[in-house]
Amino acid sequence: MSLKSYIITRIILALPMILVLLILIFFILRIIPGDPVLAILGGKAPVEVIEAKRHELGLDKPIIIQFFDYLGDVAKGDLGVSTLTNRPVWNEIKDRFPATLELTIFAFIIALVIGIFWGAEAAWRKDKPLDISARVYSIFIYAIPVFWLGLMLQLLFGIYLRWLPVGGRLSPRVSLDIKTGLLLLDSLITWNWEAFWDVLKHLLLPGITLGLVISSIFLRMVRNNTVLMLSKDFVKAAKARGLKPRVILYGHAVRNAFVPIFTIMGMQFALLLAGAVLTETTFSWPGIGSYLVLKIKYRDFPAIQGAIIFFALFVVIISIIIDIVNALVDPRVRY
Amino acid sequence: MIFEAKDLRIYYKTKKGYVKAVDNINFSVEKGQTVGLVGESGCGKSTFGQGILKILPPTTYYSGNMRIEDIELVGLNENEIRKIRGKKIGMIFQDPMTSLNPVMKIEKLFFETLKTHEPDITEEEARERTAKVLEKVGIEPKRMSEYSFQFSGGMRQRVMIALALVLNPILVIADEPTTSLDVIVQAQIMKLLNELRKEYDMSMILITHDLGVVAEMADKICVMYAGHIVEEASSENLYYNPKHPYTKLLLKSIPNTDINDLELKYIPGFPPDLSNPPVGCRFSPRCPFKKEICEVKEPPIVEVEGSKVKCWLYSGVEK
Repeated sequence: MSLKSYIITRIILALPMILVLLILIFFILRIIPGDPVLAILGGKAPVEVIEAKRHELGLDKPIIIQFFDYLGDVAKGDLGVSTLTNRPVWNEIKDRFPATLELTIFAFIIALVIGIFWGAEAAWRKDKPLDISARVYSIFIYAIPVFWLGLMLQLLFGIYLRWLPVGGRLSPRVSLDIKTGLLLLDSLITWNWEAFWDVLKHLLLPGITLGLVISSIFLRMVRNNTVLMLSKDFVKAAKARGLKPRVILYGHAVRNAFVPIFTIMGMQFALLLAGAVLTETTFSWPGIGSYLVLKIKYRDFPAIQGAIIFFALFVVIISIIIDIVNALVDPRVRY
Repeated sequence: MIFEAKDLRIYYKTKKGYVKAVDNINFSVEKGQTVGLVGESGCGKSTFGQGILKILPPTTYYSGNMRIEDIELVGLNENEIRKIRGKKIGMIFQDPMTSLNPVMKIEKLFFETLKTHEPDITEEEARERTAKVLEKVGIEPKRMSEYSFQFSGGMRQRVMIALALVLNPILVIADEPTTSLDVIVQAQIMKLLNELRKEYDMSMILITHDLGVVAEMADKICVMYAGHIVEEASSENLYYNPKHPYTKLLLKSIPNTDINDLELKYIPGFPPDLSNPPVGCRFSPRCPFKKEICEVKEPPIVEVEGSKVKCWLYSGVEK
């Protein structure tokens, strides 16, 4: 199967999944307690006002009608209008998505560096202090709630040491032309070093928090798979040819260890986004995660639905990208 | 003398104590010679083969001497022995299906090997030498840009052989090179190995449990049992005039294709646990000819009719 038809198949297969997700989220939102109209107007508003608002939002129609109306809109690419802000949901998501993307990429890089190098070196020195510390680290970090880790880092670096800001993406006094929405990239392409430093400082704490959390799983996967690969015949054969230990470890063992890791990584990415929701809330990071939490609080149905569909699409796209990278690493997938 | 091992001991360290996989053996290979090393599984053959290159677990204990040309191997550290591996001593492994990295192109395996031992080599030169050695083993050079999983088992073993020969080693250790291949391919590979050994003017240690294979190829055969070499003889002597009871039983247990005699013969019992080998002769628990002394004292090596035998049956016999 060619890569192109493979990608098309994957996207087509994603459609029914998104439909099911949409049905679930649509009805669950309307079953759980809480009323968007009351959330907006407050409990003390007169009944006529409440009824008028309900009619305005279309919430007085039967649920089934509401659902098909919504489905029709989504099929046309219209995610509706936020009941809280009256802005189109799509625009709101578009504005906030770069923040989430920047945070997850930064966190992912941190996790990759920790996972690959510590994992590989731990595997090479199996049962030695470096390996034992890696195992303890990954269990410890995995067991810690993300927001607690975030709070502790805020307390240490933000409050006691005062090295880093504890929230936001950019200090109000710093000006920056926004082009891509990825502020680190924007400040680089406009040669705005002051902004670059400011953005980086803001990114560090949430990035490290989320990065550490993912690194724990990642480190374990790299370490275990590399240990397995180091026991393989081709590693012994490479050793018998006199290759240097670094070449054997990174060129042969770690490279092969990545093949199974890639297949798991697509699923891990969903976990990463869940972690992003908590991290964004802890660090008041203006991304999709904190957006979702805010909208849930106000029962902003169209916005919640939109954000969830967006997350689902994002996970599908990332897992397709990971499959493509996997094909590049493992030739057996290609042939 | 190309290679010599004297009083060599290779012990594995385990929680139960040392496993004496190779215990006080003397072994030598002359220039241009093929020496066969035979015995059951678990007798220390592969340990010895891999021990020469010191690619056993890092906790393995070595004592005695091992010399390749005039380089002493036992005392070398990891960095020094690495320069011997592949360069002076090539190794061919048992299972070509798993001994080639599946995510790397064949050429990459050759290039990295060449580059490690000859850092100044150019890309073109490496390509040329890879092509040449692949041609020698009967693989079209243009296939070097393929992956190992695109080759059949026999072809992969050819690649392994080429990979062992690309640096022109003076000694090749073939550790059961045909065990995982079918009979016809086995014969082809053995023929190829024999031709290449002559052409490259190398010596070879051929580890196998297939007595038929060694008989054709080896100049000298060493029979290993439970970490000891129990008999050392020329191929002819070993076949027509075996001395040690173990060798005799081993030869009897070669399966034949005679329709009237299809019963499989074997030696009752198992090789002993090498972390706690029997006192005296290690074969004594399974030996049909054992005497009292066999279970008490380790037999010396004596020379009988041109063969060296480690057995009490011959210690009273004059040379």
